[in-house]
Amino acid sequence: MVKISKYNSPPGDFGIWLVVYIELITFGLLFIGYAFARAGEIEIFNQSQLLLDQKLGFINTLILLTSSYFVVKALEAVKKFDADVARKKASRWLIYAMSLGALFLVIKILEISDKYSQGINLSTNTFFMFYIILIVFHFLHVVLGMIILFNVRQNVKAQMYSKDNFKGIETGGVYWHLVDLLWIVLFPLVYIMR
Amino acid sequence: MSTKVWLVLIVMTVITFLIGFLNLVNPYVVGILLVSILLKGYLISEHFMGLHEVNFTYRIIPLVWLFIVLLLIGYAYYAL
Repeated sequence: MVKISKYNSPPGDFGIWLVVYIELITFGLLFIGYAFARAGEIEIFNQSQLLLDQKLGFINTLILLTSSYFVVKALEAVKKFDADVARKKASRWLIYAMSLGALFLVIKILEISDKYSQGINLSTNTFFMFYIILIVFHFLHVVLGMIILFNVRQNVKAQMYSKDNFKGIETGGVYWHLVDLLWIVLFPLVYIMR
Repeated sequence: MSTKVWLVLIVMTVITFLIGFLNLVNPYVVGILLVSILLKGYLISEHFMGLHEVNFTYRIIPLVWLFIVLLLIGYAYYAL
């Protein structure tokens, strides 16, 4: 007996999945580029990596994972509860998620500022070129994700979503989880693996 | 279910950090880290992105991406 999946298309608007696939390819090329560049300059990469703060990278990973979890809880609230309760609960979960997103950005700004004050920039060496490009590129995606979550929350407050209509919050969630998915590759690759 | 997935992701992240913080990284551990990234990516795409409820075609795309990226990263770490 063949098991048939519940849905024939992924959650949210299909357009967001096209964005997801393009982002995966773009970041994938950067990750692979980093690894191959490292193979040619292992000592420089290992020495430069020692200048990164693993603790901050770790804290930011916890923050993003938890923020993603809160967005899942917001979607669950919309699917599970009646309009008024769903609005309150989902709105609260999204505020938690955005607060953590903001904290992630603050920590990243502090981290980048620290490197900049040490005279580190794109031209320092190949490691820091990849580090800065990856971090800044990802940072911009978090900013866009925050804007999307803000709009999703506005729609939640306006009770635009319900048990039968939650595509918008799914779409926003997918983008936020993409940001998370990219970071769980970036953190071990750039901060941990030597 | 989402709470259990989140907890597993947190535990795996703590282990990843400790490996780096305690300077335990070696070629074998790099392999373990790559596998752990694949597992974390699987959990995020299936349970956070909600792909566990859709057709196999859509479920497999992020995993194939992750597998190819991690395979090439592993190749660069081990073979070059």
